[in-house]
Amino acid sequence: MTADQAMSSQGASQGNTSFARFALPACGVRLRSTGHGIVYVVLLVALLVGSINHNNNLGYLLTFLLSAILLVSIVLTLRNIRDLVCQGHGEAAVFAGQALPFSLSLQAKDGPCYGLSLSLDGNNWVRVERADALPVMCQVFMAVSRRGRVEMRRIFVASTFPLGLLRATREMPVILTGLVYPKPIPTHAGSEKKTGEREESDKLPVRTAGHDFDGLRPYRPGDNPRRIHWKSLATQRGLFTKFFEEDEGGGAIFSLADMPGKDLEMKLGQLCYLMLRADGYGARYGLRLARQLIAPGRGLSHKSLCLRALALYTSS
Amino acid sequence: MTVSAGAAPSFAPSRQEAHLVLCTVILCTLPHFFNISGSVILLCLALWAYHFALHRWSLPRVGLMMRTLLGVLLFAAAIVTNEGLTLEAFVSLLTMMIALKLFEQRHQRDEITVVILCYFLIVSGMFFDDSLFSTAYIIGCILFTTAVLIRIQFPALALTPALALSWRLASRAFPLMLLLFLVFPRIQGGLWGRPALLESSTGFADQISFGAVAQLAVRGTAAFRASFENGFRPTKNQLYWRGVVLWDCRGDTWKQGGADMRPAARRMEVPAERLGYAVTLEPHNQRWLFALDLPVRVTSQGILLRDDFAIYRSRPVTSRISYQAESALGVQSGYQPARDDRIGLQLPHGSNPQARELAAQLRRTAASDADLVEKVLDFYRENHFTYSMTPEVAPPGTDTIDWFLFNSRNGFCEHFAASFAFLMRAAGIPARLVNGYFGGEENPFGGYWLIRQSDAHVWAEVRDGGVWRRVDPTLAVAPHRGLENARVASGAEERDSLFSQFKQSAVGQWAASLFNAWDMVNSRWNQWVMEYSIADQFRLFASLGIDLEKFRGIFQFLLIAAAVVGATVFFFLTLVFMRKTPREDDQVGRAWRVFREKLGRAGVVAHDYQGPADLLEAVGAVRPDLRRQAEVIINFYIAIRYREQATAEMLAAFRQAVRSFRPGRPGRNNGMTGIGNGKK
Repeated sequence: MTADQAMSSQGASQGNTSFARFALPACGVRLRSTGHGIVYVVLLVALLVGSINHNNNLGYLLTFLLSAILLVSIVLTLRNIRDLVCQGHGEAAVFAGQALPFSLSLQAKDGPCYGLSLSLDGNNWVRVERADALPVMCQVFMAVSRRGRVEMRRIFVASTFPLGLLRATREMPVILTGLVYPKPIPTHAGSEKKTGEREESDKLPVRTAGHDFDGLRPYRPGDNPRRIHWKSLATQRGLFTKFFEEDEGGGAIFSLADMPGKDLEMKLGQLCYLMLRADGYGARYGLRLARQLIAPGRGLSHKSLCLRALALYTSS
Repeated sequence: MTVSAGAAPSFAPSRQEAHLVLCTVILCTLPHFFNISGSVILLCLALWAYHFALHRWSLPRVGLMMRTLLGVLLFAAAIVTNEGLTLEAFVSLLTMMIALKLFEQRHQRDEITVVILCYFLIVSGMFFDDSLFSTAYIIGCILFTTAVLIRIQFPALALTPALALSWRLASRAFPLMLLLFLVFPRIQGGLWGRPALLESSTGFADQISFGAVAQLAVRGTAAFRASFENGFRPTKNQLYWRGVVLWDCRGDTWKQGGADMRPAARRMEVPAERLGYAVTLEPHNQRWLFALDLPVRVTSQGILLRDDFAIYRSRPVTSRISYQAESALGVQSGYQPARDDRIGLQLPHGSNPQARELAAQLRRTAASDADLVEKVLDFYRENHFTYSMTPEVAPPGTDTIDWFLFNSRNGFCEHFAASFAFLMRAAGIPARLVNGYFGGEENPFGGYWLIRQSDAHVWAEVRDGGVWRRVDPTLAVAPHRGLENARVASGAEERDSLFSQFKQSAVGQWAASLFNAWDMVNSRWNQWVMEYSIADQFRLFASLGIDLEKFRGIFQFLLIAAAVVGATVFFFLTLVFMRKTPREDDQVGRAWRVFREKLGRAGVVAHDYQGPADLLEAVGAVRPDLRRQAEVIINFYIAIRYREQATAEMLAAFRQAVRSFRPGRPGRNNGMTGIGNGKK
């Protein structure tokens, strides 16, 4: 085995060296008692007082057993959240005002961990019942109100394992990235015409069906359901999609400059609305943001390209 | 993997969980069935049955109103069925509240609360029974309760792994428990008055009454255990264990009579050899102790040896105690004419004319007091008196002693002793009764004698010149009473013989030796664990070279003990928590860690995800000046770790290189790179 092989195998065993993944030293753990922990301690004090009063050695023995169990359980509580590795996956994306779902995987390096609660803000907890040597996937949510890029560099992990009497919380470093699109704001504002075609501003997006109908082609997954030729399905000829000549050209371009008002966020929201509406109808659309131009197109990747542009747009 | 969002808004425990919780409650309540009244047991059973059915067949749930109403009812039941605020009342209340709480399970926390209360319930069993078996049962229940507590909160763990985890927790807790048990300061006498435990009292009373059935005598439970010094083995008729002396005759009832007024016994010159022994007395909630006839010295706190040689303690025996005693066998207590004449002859007026007539008649024919005693004993022998634990009860209104002496002629030790003492007093001889135990059974394994409740016995003492002479009229009638204990003599004749046959058989003897072994284990458990006292604690610390006796003040002692306990716990926690995560049992790993730490101080943070080659690059980027030195060490490491070229010389060279690696402080151009050293 050569050194290089060794190192690559070591690299593999430690996971990739992506900077979104960290091993965790046991530090910064906060330990506090749960409500039941307080009940338990009160119980212990009562038993101790009873044992002292009756000079009852069995009472002492059992009281100390229960106390020692509590103390030893602290070890397991800390161990349960200590040996965790957390890694973010992909980029989450939602519209402003929704909860951003970050995907992450959780891996327990040293034996399984139970009953883990994860949270980004300390309020909304997501529970993972068991994490093991094989990573488990889960989603944590965070409410977002502003568009733009979101990056979380730490996540809270908490656990009351094993007895539910003590709750240990710690922060885990992680890199979670997300994108927040502007919140769509309904508007009647128009679109920029591309090449001097039909006036469409007041009935946008124009449904182009009916124009240049070019026939049917077999259905391909991903075709707009609005264009499925239901008649042929009804007559049991199979699933067909209506095909338009115009599909490969033309389309509306929505421009930031055309939006009325001065509030940038408002205008971006309205653009987002127009864009989504056009997408909903299956129309071709493009986007012009200051100097940036996205040529008309359709489809999922085109849509996310436009939304990303809206999310990341800065006026400077 | 299961991922569920946040706290579930509505909680519905699974049937398995509900049954597990019910099972815990039942296990923890069972031992208390001996302590709580029958009506409470019935109520509990009914509540459990409904709870079981509720989850089995989805019966309607119990609403809040119903629960409140039931709660009030149960509270009233607990108070009414027990006399005042005893521990029994507390336990029945707790039992029923837990049974009721089972129905309130809107959240998971309700379930958890029930399970935590179960800890309380099972541990409160300590007040009633601290035998080895009971201790094992309680600890078993604690293990099970812990497992259920884990199981209901962490569904990813099934019951079996939860039990394993609970055992792991407990087994790690045992050493700490033991340590705390040994060093926790014991406070003698407790904090405030202890409520008496009705159940654990033996019923051995300071009075005897003709009408009473000899319930006590048929109970086989242990009264006390005694171990004699120097391997002394007493004969059966030496084993008269003296308890209470009864002076006050009220016809069919004998009482202590002015018990507290009697002074302490004077130190007497004892000619005979003294016999030393240790007694471990089970709690009986009374103030007297037992010792072999005739006790000379008893060493225990707050003890009074009265001049009628009854031993009294300043406080009732509410928990098991041990004491050392010395007795002079065959010695008789001195007669004090000044006091004993007056009360030793006192009789109620007018009752039992036939008995008085008999006494007067015998007095006339007897040559001396001793002759009179013999004549009375002959009277018992010749008139076909029989021994029975269940004699006929005298019809109401009759004189009970007359009825016994002339009609039924059937009874047990109390009847014989009381009638004998009555006749003696009627004939003008001072007499008194002694209530105590007679006999005992030797445990061959433990070398001690077990005295049971069934060995309870009453005998008489009459004036014989200057001393009180012991006369046991029961033996005159039933000599076997001296050979076998009352348990054998009790009940019908057939049972008697059957039992004797069983005892004689091989199985019986095997069972007896099994019992003896078990009793010995229990006795040792009591001796070493349950009676661990402040004196033992002093001895323990003395053997460690710490003289606690020096610190007379209890507060000083408390302070020291608290410091010791605190330090121990702290030490324990440090030991467990601060252990480094990676276990480095190889020298290479240790040297490598030292190297990485040195690099860290030099400004190159070594991350876990970095392999050695990556680390070298990082060194080159951040501290080019260290690159050459680091390269040597890193290449050594790679060669040893991955090329399997580790020779002893290489290892030594590698460690030497690490030792001599002395990077300077980081310069200003090597700020911490990397995001994730995890510290915030």
